[in-house]
Amino acid sequence: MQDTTLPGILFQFIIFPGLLFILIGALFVDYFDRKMFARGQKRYGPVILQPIYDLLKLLAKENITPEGVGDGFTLAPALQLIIAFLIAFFVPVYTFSGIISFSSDLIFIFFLITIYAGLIFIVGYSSRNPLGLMGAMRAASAYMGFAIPFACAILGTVLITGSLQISNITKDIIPGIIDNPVYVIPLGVLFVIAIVSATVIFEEVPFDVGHAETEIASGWTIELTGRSLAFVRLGSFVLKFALAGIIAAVFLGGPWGLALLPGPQIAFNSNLAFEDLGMGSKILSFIYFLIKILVVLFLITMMRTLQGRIRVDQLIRYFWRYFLPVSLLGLLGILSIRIFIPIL
Amino acid sequence: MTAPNLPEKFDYKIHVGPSHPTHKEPIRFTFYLRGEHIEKVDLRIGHNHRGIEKALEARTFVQNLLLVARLSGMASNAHQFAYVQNIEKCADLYHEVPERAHWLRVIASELERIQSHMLWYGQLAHDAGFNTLWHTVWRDREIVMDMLEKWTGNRVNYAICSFGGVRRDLSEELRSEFVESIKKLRNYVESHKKIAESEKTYYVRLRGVAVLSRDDALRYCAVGPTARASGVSTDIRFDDPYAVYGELKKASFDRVVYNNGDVLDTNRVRLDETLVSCDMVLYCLENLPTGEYRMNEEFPRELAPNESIQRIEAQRGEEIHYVRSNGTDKPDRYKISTPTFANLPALKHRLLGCKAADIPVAIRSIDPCIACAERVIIVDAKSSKKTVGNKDLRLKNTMTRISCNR
Repeated sequence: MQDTTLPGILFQFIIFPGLLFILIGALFVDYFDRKMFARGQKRYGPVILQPIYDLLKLLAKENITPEGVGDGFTLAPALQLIIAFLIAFFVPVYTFSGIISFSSDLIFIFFLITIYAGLIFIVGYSSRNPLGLMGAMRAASAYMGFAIPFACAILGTVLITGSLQISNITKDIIPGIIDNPVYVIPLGVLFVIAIVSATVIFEEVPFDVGHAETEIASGWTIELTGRSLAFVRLGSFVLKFALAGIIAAVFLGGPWGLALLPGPQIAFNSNLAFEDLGMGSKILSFIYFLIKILVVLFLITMMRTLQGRIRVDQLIRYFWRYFLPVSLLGLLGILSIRIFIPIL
Repeated sequence: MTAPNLPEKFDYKIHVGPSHPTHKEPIRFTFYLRGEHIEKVDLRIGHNHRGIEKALEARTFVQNLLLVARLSGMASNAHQFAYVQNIEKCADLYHEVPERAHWLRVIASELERIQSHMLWYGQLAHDAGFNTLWHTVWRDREIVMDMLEKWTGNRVNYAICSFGGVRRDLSEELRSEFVESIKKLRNYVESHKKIAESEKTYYVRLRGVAVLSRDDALRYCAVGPTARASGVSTDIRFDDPYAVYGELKKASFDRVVYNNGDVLDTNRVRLDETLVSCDMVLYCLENLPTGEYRMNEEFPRELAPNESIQRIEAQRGEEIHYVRSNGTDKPDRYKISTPTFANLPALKHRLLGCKAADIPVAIRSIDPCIACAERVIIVDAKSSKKTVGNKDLRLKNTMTRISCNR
């Protein structure tokens, strides 16, 4: 965070790159996802304002609370939205750090993702519907499957950069790879695993077991209506924006790009303070960020365009049997490169 | 939703239907689940009973031509095809139907089979969450829909069959256009088959799901593609050839049989049958005889007392039409046996042991057409009430099976 005056802080939190920007970004994520999905199927897809229309329509609908539901049913959707926004605050948009950045904030992100997954379970469980309960159980099982490979994949970048802080990883990951290009091989594998694992928490098609429209009629969201459903949907878009942004930041360097390098002499020297850069560089960095997040989102959308849904037992089997060992091997690869290449 | 007197063996029960995202037609399944495993299934039909058999008896034979096409949206031509052949046999005029009319009827029948199978395997992909295949298939299906529309004037309920022939001839320009379209369509179907076989997530989703062994298929009297996927070599087109299927059989067309009996093989049977149907249509179009497309003399309005039965192979399996005339212009009795009803006992059996996630694809596997099935009176096996005059009707056996199961 650069501007430390009160109006500056308020501007950052509320307008850019805070709430308003995240909201627009999340709605655009929904539009982009649906449009790419539709184009992949040779359909036309929605107009650009369609996510806003959908959201406003849902917000205007009556909010029905079924009899006998637990407290979590009314509280959890709003909490999900809040947590998704909180994660989005960590996304580096045009500088190396997001609005919030502190030491070891990556751990905190994992913690928030776990809370988010827990809230999915709470919504489904408290809706007191067999299908909702089944969706909740499946979502919880799926979380058991994806969490460790996802964390391992992100940890690969931590091993390269030697920091658990997102801003440091963003700053150092590309210079680290340029220093030692062999990192590309294990990091590429870990990037794929991160994308695949993230699809589980987004509940996208190959892994949307907890939602599974044609099987359990939208699973854990089955009893949600009106405002609650709008919160859950918006929360999932915001989370998609946030996690895609974090994956883009830690693997692809987020806003890192040539614009941050006024001269070749500082290309591999990251001591340059961000304030020293002009407005033009900041805008260019923002464009780099947009391109990278769109690449990540495109990959996630293609996952759901090109595949069918698998069962929850198959999901867990794949993650534990294939993705977890492969992600550990990736970590091992990075470690051995880090240890042995300097010796050679 | 949980019943108070639920046995302890089950965790909970869920209802699928009468209204559910996967099933547009009203049928209700009650699944007793333990975790994700199905321990027991109850199924109930009867939500859509329209009294069509009674309605058929209240209308003249000509009026029934339209009513019988509305038994099912997907199989309207199949029902009409069986109906007109049945009435022609009942009037003893079947041999006077011109040769070209038979060929045209078969072309319509096979085109309908193609569009129905394509709809089915697209829908199956949707049920398995593979929406891209679904949209691709349904887009390509428009080719056959357009063909049918150009010829008959309608996309569904084409009503092309008529007493003594067909309603509209197939002009020479349209014939050559059809040849091109069907070749294009065949390529598309081959690409669908390739996608369905090569996409791993889709493949593992269908493999080994809802297995119906050959013995069970025979025991539960499964018909059509459901039986053929289980290794039962049954296809009325070749077992008991009607219209020009005898000549097609001589032209080395044959039934498609797979052996595993799971949903994957059901899918394969239908994909291959679509290809075979494309070839059949091509063969028919190229060997279409010239001549009249309907009888010259007027078809009688009133039929002398007689009875007749006609079996045909619809998209979903064996379809049996029985008629008894009494000298008036209305049928004395009209009975229709549909493949969906024959397949329901087998479906109930194969659902046991499935996972909850497999419910949509397992139910889809028999291609349920509830509108067709909703005319039956289920009789008690022990009291053995006569439902149809002809004892050879397989329907009675099937009904007995269902009541035994209950």
